[in-house]
Amino acid sequence: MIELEREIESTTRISGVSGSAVQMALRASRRIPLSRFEAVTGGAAILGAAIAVWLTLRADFLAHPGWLAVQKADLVLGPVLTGLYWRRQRPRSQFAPLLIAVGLLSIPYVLQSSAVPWAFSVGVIWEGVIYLTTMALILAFPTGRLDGLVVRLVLAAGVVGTGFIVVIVMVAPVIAPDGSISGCLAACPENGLFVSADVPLAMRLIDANRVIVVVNAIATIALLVHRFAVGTPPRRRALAIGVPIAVFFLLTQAAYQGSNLVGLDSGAFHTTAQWAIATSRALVWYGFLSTLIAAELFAGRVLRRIVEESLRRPTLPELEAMLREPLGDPGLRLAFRSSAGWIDGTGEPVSSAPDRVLTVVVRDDSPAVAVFHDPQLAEDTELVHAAGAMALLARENAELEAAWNDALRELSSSRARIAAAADAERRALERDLHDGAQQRLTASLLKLSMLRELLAVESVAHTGMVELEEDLAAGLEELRQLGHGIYPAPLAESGLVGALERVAGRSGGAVEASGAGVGRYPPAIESAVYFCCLEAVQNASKHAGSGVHISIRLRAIGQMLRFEVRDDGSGFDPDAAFEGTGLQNLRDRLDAFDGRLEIVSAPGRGTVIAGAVPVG
Amino acid sequence: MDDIALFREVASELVRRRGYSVAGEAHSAAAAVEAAERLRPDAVLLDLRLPDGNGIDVSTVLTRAHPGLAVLLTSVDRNSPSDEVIRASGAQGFVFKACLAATDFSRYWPAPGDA
Repeated sequence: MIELEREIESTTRISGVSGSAVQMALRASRRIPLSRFEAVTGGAAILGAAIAVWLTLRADFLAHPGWLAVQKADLVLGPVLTGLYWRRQRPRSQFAPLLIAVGLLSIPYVLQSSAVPWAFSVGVIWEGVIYLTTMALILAFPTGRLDGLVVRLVLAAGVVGTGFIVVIVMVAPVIAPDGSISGCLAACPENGLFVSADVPLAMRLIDANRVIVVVNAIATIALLVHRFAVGTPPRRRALAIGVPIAVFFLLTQAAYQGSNLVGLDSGAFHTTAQWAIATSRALVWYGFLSTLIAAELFAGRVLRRIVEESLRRPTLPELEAMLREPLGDPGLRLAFRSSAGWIDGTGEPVSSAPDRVLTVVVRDDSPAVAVFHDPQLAEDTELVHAAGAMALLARENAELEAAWNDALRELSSSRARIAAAADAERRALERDLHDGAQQRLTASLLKLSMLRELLAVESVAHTGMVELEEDLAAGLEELRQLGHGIYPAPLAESGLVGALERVAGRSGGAVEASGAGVGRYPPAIESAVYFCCLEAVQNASKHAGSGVHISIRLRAIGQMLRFEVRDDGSGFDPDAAFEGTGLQNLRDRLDAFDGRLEIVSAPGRGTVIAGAVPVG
Repeated sequence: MDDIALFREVASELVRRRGYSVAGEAHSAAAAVEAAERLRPDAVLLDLRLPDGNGIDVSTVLTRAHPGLAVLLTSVDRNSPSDEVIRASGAQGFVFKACLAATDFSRYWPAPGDA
């Protein structure tokens, strides 16, 4: 854990605190003016290319001056401009400086178009240099690093081959460019670097150089195919465009030099191979450029998919999957900063992964998300940053939503608890009244009656006690009604339907109640519904006019208990009428059990008060 | 049978005054069924609300177990169960507790001394 902490800290320092994805995205979308480096490098490349075109078109010994001018300009401009674009998109990539260097190193090749003997000879030697830099570029794609034994052997062989060319130039009295379309018309300029003639040595070195080129091409093709075959999805994606073009270039090169070795140094095949080399070499940089553009299109697609995925409210354990598939990295892991250190979506602590690259998303000047990803994705740091930031947002969203839902659930259950507790208290109060004061006073009344029986009927005491009994009975009745208002005993004894039928029974025919199939429910729900119906009946008999008929209907449908109090009275406009506190209290009481109450009425159309409570 | 001791006392006094003898008292539905089995009374005064049940059910049990037992239901509440419910429970009738002193028990029970 502590090790990971340190690793994240150092990664954050390297990428800079300003490396947060949001700032990155802002920087990418802003137009950045040409930097000094870009102006100088680009200017040098354009100047070099212009000189190449001018010199080549002026040379009168060349077979294809026009095509050669294009090729020489492209050798400089192609890599340099691709490199500058690459550098803008991936400022930390090592491949961009390599591209720029290769382009600038191609400038001296222009000397091959010069008729000045020493310059012409240097230009011929420079073919070896261009061969070397092109091979280095192909081998370094796309990371910019030149690691591994095969890479070193190929480059070493290339250096030896370039050495051979230097020797050839020194021992061959007459030299001609070995390039494809750089042949001379009748004769080439004089060899300015000629020392002394040794034609057999020159012939052997030419063949040796051809062997090196063929072997190097085959080894490099094998290496590229191997890289592609063992590559992870992100690596394959990075190699997908650049590698086929490079392989095609290497194949044409091997075929051309191979055909020279077996003595097939003229004819249609020879000419075709020469032109194929020229074309495919020019395509190599544009293959790299296409790779970069494809990567940006890919990044756009990836982010769009991640954004769409995040709309589906992924849960915390699903966040990794949300990034894995779009990024094509099945082993991607996420770590979020929490009070308990770095944890994954399931809350487990995350440890460092040695074979993965760590990208840290910084927020408010401190690391917030760590993404462990395929090393190849390190080329797309901005993409990984943005994806990590999306994961962070989705996580915060999920956490907020969970907290909100918890709070709502807690609120709802606490309301139901409070309502149930209040109801239990009402029932206890009613029981206390019934078992206490009412019984005691009834017993007193009976005692009084028994005492009165002992007195002479017409006596003053007898009359007084009759009055006393009547007073006591009236007090008892008030007490009974009070208890009934707090919690009606019939509700506890016979449930909603029984209690409402009693209400109907007392009405003298104005109210009817029905509730087939309605059973017993928790007391708090029964009393909430009972009092709603009672309030509705009282409202109707108060406001609906004389001779109104009121019906109470209860129904149990699925997990819902529904009730409806309907009258055929004068009705009213619910929007204009003030809802009494009685009805509002009942609405609140129903709300506590997730129930609802609706009032439908219109002048002259009667009134329906209907409600439903879940009882599942 | 009534769960309130004070009321049981007064009610016993009242029925004694009306010429009946009190065989026993019970404070709950279970105790009522047990006492009826043990004491074999001719008549019972039964509260509708008991701590462990209601008078209607107890009346049903008692009249089934002891055919001919005269059960009179009573309550501190004025509201009487419907006639059908009373009949179905085997009881003879219902009297509001506050009116017990004015009640002619012979309408519901056998006359005192008949048993």
